[in-house]
Amino acid sequence: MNTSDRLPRFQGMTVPAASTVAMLLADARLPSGGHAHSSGLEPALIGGMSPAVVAGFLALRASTTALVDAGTAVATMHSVLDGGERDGWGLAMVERAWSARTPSRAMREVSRDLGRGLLRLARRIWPASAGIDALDDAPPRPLVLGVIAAEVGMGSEELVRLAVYDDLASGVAALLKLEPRDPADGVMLLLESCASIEPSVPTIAAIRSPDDIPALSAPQAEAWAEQHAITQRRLFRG
Amino acid sequence: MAEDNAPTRSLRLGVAGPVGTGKSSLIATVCRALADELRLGVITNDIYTDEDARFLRSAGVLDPERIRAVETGACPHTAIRDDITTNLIAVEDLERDFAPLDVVLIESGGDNLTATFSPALVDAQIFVLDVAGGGDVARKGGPGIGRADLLVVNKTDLAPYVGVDVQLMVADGLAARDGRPVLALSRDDKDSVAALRAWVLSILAAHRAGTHVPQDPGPMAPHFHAGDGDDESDHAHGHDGHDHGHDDHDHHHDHAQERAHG
Ligand SMILES: Nc1nc2c(ncn2[C@@H]2O[C@H](COP(=O)(O)OP(=O)(O)OP(=O)(O)O)[C@@H](O)[C@H]2O)c(=O)[nH]1
Ligand SMILES: [Mg+2]
Repeated sequence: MNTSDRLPRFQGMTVPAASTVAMLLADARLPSGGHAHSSGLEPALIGGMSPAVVAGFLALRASTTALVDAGTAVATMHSVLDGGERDGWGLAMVERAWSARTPSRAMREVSRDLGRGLLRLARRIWPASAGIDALDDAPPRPLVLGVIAAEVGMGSEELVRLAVYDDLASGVAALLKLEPRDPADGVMLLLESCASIEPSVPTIAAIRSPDDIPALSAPQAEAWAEQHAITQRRLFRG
Repeated sequence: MAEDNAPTRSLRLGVAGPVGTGKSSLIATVCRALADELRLGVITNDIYTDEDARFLRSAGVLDPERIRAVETGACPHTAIRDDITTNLIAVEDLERDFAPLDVVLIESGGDNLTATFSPALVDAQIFVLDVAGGGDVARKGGPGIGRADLLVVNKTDLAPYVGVDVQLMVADGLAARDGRPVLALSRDDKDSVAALRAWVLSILAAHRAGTHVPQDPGPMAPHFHAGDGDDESDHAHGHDGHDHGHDDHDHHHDHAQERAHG
C-alpha cells in the first residue's frame, strides 16, 4: 500500500519509515502519558508479590496479556488495511474481542487511558488518517497501535514486538522506581522477557480475524489490578 | 498555546513551587475567595498519594467532585512539562463534566526550583515560595522565580519566627523578575488574600480578552541574558534572547536524566 499520499502533514518532508515510527512508539520519552504507568508491576508489588520474582512476573505478562494486546493490534491493522469493515469484523468487533479477553475492568480502563494519550498524539501527527479518525476518544492502547501501524505500513512481526516491548519496558522503568536496582539489570530483564515470546511471534503476527486473538488471561495479575485501582497510595496509574 | 477556544475552555492556571511552600493552601484560599463568583475546578499532581486532593476536598471550599488527582509515575516534573498528556486529559474531562468552567487550577507535585509548567498545559502560572524555606531563595533564581506570571512569597506570618525580612525577599524577587509581579501572602492576612484574588481576576479578564499570551518560563538550565533574540525558536522561551551554546547542551543532558530517573 502506498502510504505517502495519505500523509499530508509530511508535505515537503520525507515520510518517516515504518521502523522509525516503531522506534518512536517504543521510546519511553514519547509524550503520550506512558510515564505514569507500570504495566501492572506496582499493582503486583502492592498486592504482595516478592520483588525477587519480577522476572517471572514479566515473562508471564509477556505470554498472556501482552500477547492479547499484540494480537489485537495486528487484528486492528488488518481490519484497517484489508477493509475488514466490509467483512463484518471492523474496529468495533476487534474492540469487543479485546474486551472479552481482558476481563479486568481496571486493566481495560488503564489501557483506554494509554490509548487516549497515544491517540491524541497520533491525531496531531496524522491528521488526515482515516484509520486513526475511525477510533473514538478512548480506545484501548492496542487499537491505537494497530491503526498507526496500518497508517505507516508497519510489518506485523514488528508490530507484535512493539506492542510487547512497550508494555514490558514500562514495567521495567517502574521497577527502578519501586524496587531500585542496577539499571543494567533492568535492561537484562527486559530483553529476556521480550525474547521469551519469540516462539509465539509468527503465530500472533499471522492473525487476521479478531476471533484468532488468543484468550490468555492472568487471574492473579487481574486481581492485583482491581485492588490497585482503589488504593490511595500509588505512584502509577496502573 | 491554547489549542481551542471552545466555549468550555477555561483559564488553566498552574501552581508550582517546592515541597510544602503552601500550594494546596493557596488553591484553597483562591477557591474560598472566588467560589461564589466563578466556576472552578482543581487538578492535583500528587507524588505518593492523593493526599492533596483529599486535603482540598476536606477543606470544603469546592464540590469534592471538582477536585481530581492524577498520578505522575514519581515524575512530577515530567507530568507538567515533558509529557503533559495525563494532565491535559484530566483538565479536558473536568471542563467537559462541569462545563462551563471559568478557571481550572492545577497543582504541580512539590518539586524543586527548576519545575515549571509547559504553556501547552497552562495559560498562566504561579510559583510559590515560602519564608520558612529561607530569605535568600528568591535570589537563587530559576525559571519559576524569574518568569512565572506571579511569584508568591508565602506564609509571611511566619517571618518573625524564622528571621526573614519579607520586604527584602520581595525586593529580591522583583529584581529577579524584570518587573513581573511578586505577592507577599499569608492565608491569615486579608489584604494579601484580596490582592491574590484581584490578580486571578485580572489574569482571567486578560485571558478572556485575548490579551494574555501564555509564556514559557523557560528551560531548566540557567539563562544567559545575551539579549541577542536571534532565531525563531527563541520565542518559545519567552521574551528574552539567550545563549544556545554550552548552556543548552547542559539542558538537554538534564532532560535525559529526568526521563531516566525523574
Ligand atoms: N503559617 C502559615 N502556614 C501555612 C500557610 N499556608 C500554608 N501553610 C502550612 O504549610 C504547610 C504546607 O502547606 P501545603 O498547602 O500543604 O503546601 P504544598 O505546597 O501544597 O505542599 P506539597 O503539595 O506537599 O508540596 C501546611 O502545614 C500548611 O498549613 C500560611 O499562609 N501561613
Ligand atoms: Mg500540596
